[in-house]
Amino acid sequence: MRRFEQGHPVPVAAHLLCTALIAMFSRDPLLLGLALVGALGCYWQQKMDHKLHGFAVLLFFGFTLLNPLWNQSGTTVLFILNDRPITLEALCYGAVSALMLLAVLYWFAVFSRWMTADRLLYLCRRLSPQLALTVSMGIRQASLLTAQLQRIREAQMVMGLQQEQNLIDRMRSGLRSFSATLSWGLENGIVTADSMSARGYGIGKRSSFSIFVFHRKDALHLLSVIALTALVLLGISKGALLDTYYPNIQSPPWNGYSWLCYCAYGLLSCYPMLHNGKEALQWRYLQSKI
Amino acid sequence: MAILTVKDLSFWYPEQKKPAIEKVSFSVEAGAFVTLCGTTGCGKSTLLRLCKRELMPHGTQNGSVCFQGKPLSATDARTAASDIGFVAQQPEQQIVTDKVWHELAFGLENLGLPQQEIRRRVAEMASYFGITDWFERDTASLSGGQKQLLNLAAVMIMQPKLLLLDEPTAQLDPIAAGEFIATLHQLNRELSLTILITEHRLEEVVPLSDALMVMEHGTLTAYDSPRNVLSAMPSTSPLLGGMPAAARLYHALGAATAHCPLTQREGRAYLQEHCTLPSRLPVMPPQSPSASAPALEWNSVYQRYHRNAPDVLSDFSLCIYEGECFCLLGGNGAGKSTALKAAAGLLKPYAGSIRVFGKKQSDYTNGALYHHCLAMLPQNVQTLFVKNTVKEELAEIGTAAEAFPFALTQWYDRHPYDVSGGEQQLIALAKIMGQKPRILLLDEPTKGLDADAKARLGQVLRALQQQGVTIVIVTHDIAFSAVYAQRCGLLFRGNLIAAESPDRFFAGNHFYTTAAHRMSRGLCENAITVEQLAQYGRQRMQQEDDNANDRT
Repeated sequence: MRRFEQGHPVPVAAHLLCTALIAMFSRDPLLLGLALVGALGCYWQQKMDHKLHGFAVLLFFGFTLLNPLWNQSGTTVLFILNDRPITLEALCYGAVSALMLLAVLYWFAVFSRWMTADRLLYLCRRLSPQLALTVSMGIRQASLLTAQLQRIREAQMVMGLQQEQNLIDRMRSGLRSFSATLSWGLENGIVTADSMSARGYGIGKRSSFSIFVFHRKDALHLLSVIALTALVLLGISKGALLDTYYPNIQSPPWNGYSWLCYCAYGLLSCYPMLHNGKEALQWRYLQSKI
Repeated sequence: MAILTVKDLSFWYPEQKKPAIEKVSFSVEAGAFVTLCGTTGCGKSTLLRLCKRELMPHGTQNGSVCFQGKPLSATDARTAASDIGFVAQQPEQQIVTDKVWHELAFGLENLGLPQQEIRRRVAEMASYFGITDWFERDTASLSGGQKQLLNLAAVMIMQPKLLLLDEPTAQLDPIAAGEFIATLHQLNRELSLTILITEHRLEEVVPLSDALMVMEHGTLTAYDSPRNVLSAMPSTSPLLGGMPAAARLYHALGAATAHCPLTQREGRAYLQEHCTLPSRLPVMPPQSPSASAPALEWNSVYQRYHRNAPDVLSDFSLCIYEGECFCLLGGNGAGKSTALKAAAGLLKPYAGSIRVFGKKQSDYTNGALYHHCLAMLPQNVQTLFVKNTVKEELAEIGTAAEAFPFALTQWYDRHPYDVSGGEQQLIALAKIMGQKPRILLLDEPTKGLDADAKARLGQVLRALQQQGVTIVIVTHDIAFSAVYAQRCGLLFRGNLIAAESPDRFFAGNHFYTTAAHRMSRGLCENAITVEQLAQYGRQRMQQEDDNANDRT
């Protein structure tokens, strides 16, 4: 069973980019609702951090209520607060902006989970293979140095030199540990440098290797993403989405293009969720035959 | 055909009058497994580095190094990088990237090979070394043995003809070290890979080698098959301390035959044929537990690192008495370091208590636990050094250097990182003795030390013990604990099993025991060190000589 995010990085990145960008630049509530549904579906499947939900709800209410306070354009006035008219249009716009922010927030949370360092580097290596290697080494050295810093702090504590009483002492102890980590890092960096040059680093132009292979399924994913995005863009260009809130909310006519736009975007947004679901069902069936 | 020829090689480090290597000449045949040994500072590492062009140290060099007939300086960059491989001592710092697959592909990327070629070689190498299970993991999450194996695979993927290894098993536990040496042996036998390895842990490597090279003070003093070298070695040589137990036994018993035994099996055969031993050695009576007050107690300690992980310490109870030296043994990840850290107050166990001199740890407030009470020497002693010279290090903690049973004045002006591993160990120990502790906790103190440094450390610990310090050592080193411990304990599945004197502890074990015991089991009970066997064996031979003389 191969989940969507386990595939080649290019279709995954393309999907995330298209979905998030379209959501970012639109203010249509139904579209954004579909974006949010798709993001939540993927988020749910990942079993991720639930603290994000609390933050998201806070963001939603904050934005919805803040926008009318700053923006007074709009014609339908609901009530006056401190000489400021609170208009329905401003409230609606605030709500839709907040919805957009939520959708993008969740999509980026999914992005950070799916696009691990090596996948991101794979995408960047076309730009600069050197950069990819440097970032990979940076990640490694960072984890080494933090582990060593922790060991040094423990050793200093057991020597009775780590004073925790006041701020000055704590800063001094922190500085000692940091200085010791730096010395250690420089000393042992030589070993890493030796290891690199012993394996021929710098003798010529480097090629670049990755474990990602472009399968047929990946091609299918990429084509689907491109096709659905094209359909959505077609619908948008024909004016199927709601984007005018001031001075009056003007909802566009509900025609074939609207259907096209919303259905295509719905499919695009829920694509990973649906794909993973289908794979899971298929796996259950195959498993029962083993 | 000689793959490596060294002729009259001399090397001086910058601003040094005395050469690090003096007129060394040898040649290594293709497909040979050569071990290079010698005391610390004899020039082994320097010699190895001079054979790898990219790692040559700065300095003045005379003489020549030829690889496959061509001088090393004249070989092209690609051949020099790919045909000669080098694996160093530290498993952690040699790894460059953050993913295992990237590390494997690193060398080939440097050579600019196309993607398909790299993919094939990586798949082949990973399958050969059995890395497929941890292929996609982060390098930071591997164990020490896995890291060193990864380093070896990352070098082997470039298909070298000559492999140079500089003490590769120094930082590994005995089981990982054994597996690593076995992998090298397999590479040598299956692929005709020429191997030149420097080692202190010679028990496993010497029987597998085709030739043994001995270096002393920068000169090559012996280069022959291991049996010949060990048979010809004088019995008083300082190098014997690091040699296999069977060879040490042979010399201790007076080198009766022409051929020196190398493996424990040969040692056992030698004992059976050429030595009559008493069938049982006397064992010291167990020390009565109420003789001294308890210094450090763990009472039903439970500890785990993550909520859903298994317990690292499970109902762990141990009592250490004042003035004794206790060695805690156990496999990798058994929880020995965890027990020590809990005692030092770095970890809080989720259940159970630890008492230091009868008082609970929480009763020691304001860092009182670390002044005149407890001190810990961590596994990585470099974590203790924060100053630029040894003198400043010792002055920082106000230690009276005279009270320390070893003269450190010779290193006062050096930077702590510039001295050897064994010397760093002693400096760190002196530094923590400045806290005037009454309990000393040592976490793997013998890691990476040669036999000389181990003996020195042992002497210092004995002297400290006589000053009244209680010593707790966590170690893998069975031979060290057999000599210097008063009591030994085995930690297994978070639980302490059997805390007894080394005589009873090792004599009662079949597998987890010293080489001397394995050689003499059944022939002479309760012998756990080579010195014991030698002492009683010599006595018997002396008695027989006397009897023979009396009869004539």
